[in-house]
Amino acid sequence: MSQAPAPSRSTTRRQLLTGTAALALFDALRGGTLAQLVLPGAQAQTQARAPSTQRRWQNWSGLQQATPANWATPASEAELQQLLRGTKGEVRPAGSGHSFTALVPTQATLVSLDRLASVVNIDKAAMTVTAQAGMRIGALARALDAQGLALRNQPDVDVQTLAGAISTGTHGTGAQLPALHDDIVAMRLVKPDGEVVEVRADQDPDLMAAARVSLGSLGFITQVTVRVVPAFNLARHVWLQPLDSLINEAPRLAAQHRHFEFYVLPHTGYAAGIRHDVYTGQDLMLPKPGDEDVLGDLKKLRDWLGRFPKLRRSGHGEGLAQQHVAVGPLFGQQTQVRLVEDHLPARARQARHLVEQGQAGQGFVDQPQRQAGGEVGAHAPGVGVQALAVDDQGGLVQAGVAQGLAQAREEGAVRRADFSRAQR
Amino acid sequence: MPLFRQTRLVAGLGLLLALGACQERPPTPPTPPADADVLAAEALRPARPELAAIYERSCMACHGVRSAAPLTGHGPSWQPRLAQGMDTLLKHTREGLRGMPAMGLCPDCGEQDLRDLISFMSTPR
Repeated sequence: MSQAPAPSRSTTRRQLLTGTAALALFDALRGGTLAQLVLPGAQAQTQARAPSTQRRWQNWSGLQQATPANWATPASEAELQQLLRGTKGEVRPAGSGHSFTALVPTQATLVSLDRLASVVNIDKAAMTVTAQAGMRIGALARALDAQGLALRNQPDVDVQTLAGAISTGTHGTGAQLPALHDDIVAMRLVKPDGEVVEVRADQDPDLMAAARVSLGSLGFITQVTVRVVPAFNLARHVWLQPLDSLINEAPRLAAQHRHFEFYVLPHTGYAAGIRHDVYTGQDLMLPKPGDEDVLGDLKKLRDWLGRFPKLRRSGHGEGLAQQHVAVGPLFGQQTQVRLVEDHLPARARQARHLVEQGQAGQGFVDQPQRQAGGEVGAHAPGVGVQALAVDDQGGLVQAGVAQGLAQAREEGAVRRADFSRAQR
Repeated sequence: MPLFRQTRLVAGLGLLLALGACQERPPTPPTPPADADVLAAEALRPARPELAAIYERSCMACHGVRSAAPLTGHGPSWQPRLAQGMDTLLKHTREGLRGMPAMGLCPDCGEQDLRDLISFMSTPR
């Protein structure tokens, strides 16, 4: 083992990088703790129904699974009340299975509110919408867009139910933007004993504060009233950039743009930056399927650098050359790669703490990963190359790339409210 | 191994999060949907109102927009799936497959509902 000379200026970057890697694990590790908070007094129901009626629930990653004895789908709040009054043992709510934690799995009674999925009222004077809590974010956004309205900060993954998103603190990006639960002004809550409580933020702020991100622990949220804003469009820009320099620029980008995030492209030394800002132009376009585009950019970058072996050895030096070598197997494996989403620097400190305690790393290799798809949104081939030109560490890289591929730059605006891919 | 590269390795091992159920890599259809297909899909609904309600609240989140899921009404996306037979599609729907969640976000759907929804979505517009 040789000791690399580590410039002091890279220390912070290194720590942030470590934090990024650990964040994915952080939620999983946290799950065990959270599960104990949910309905702590409930006892597992041991009487299982006939296997033929049992169906397996799992979250989207497949890491959380359960086969509840009873999976109920009440069609109304009254049915839910009746169900809760008549059910003994553990009862847990399920949304769309987009949480990483063990909030949902139960062997007893699982309840989905998918049938409570309608808009109740849109109040343009008050600028609020009241909707049933099983409605999905994307469906609500579509209904709002038809009225010229929008959620203030809609996450790009928008299949979550309102109750699930609110209860778990689901959020989009945007350093200045609060998460969805912060825009709740009222909700209806069915307590475990079946009683309905109407909670209003202006009348009972403490209860509302407790109920906003309550992880299902207070009961079932059946209806929410949410603040909305006039519909707006976002322009989206995606680019590739050396990870180190992007981490350096991350605080500035987060402050400058309505939304900023980036995806680490493992084994390559690069990251895909994504930013969104409000767009007032009329030349709207549909977002294109982005999963492959950034990877395609990276492949082009590899091929292009491959024609300039001298360049690979300069600029970033050995590091870049080795990263280049690593790209080949990456693309040959049909995305055995997952990309890490993070919203730096909010939780980096906690995640780094986990790493320092030696907790991170476990589970990365021994937990089955059912989903193998890499996921990066992009619609502008060549943008990343342009971004690379602003790299502050490699003069040769900057000049060469700008000369060779600057023409590939492309920017586009996307319409937001009715297309879920618009925001990342 | 240099410390920085070790750190990078840790980052590489942490490639955990694909971000959305719709987003996972599917079999690539021979002809991806054009913008016109996506816009058309947005307006498509099953004729039966109860089925349309289920479609809107469950299926449309992924199949009614441009995503990795086969697009409603887009024949080329569905052709390779249909070739596997309805029973296979039904099985994948009930049990989940790649980005497709088990029961397709419709835990209350019966078998006939699922069959009807698959038929609706896979019928070329």
